[in-house]
Amino acid sequence: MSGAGSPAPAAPTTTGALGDVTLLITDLRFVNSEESDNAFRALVDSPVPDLTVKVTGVPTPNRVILVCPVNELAQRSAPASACVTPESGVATRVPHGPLYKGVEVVQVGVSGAGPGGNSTAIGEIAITYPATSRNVQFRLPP
Amino acid sequence: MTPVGNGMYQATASFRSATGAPGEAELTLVSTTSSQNVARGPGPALSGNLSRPAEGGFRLRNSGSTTLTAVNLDVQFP
Repeated sequence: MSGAGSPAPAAPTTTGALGDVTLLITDLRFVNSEESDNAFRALVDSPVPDLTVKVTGVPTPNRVILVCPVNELAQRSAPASACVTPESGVATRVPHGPLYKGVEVVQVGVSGAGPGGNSTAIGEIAITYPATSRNVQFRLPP
Repeated sequence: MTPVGNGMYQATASFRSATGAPGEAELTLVSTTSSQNVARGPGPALSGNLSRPAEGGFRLRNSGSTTLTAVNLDVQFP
């Protein structure tokens, strides 16, 4: 780690196929994003037209946790019609390419009565893809 | 990320405080073969080297007293 006043060392730049990798994101708690942005987003570098996403721990039946394509960290960028409501532990395919650079997981709506229905704990999000670089950018829910 | 290779990693976290008071977070590298590397502060950043563990990851924890918003994490895995 660089000390104060020293420039941070440059990150290695890796190009070319690096093989399939899996990003595991654990212990997330989502809050209903109908009134504020509480989504998880990840942007990755990959040549393939879709990424494989598996979310473990969503409610059954799942009506509120959406998996969507996304092209920036700061805000939602896909229409609702591009999103899916995944079943727990079942892999879904998310479009990737020039239009979409990554994955968004977001809660939209409430899953039950009372304050508890406004949030959902997710055990794990797994994103698998063939990587062309090992740089990943995340936006985490508060 | 799994698998990770040999080489250098970098991670930087950024965020805003929901209250305007300074926020603070703890960013930790966790791997199966390297000792932990931890940074704390209003914009924690880590770098170092990993030697081919089976799995490597970063943990981000709000270590301050205010709610953090717009939490971004930029990671370069080896």
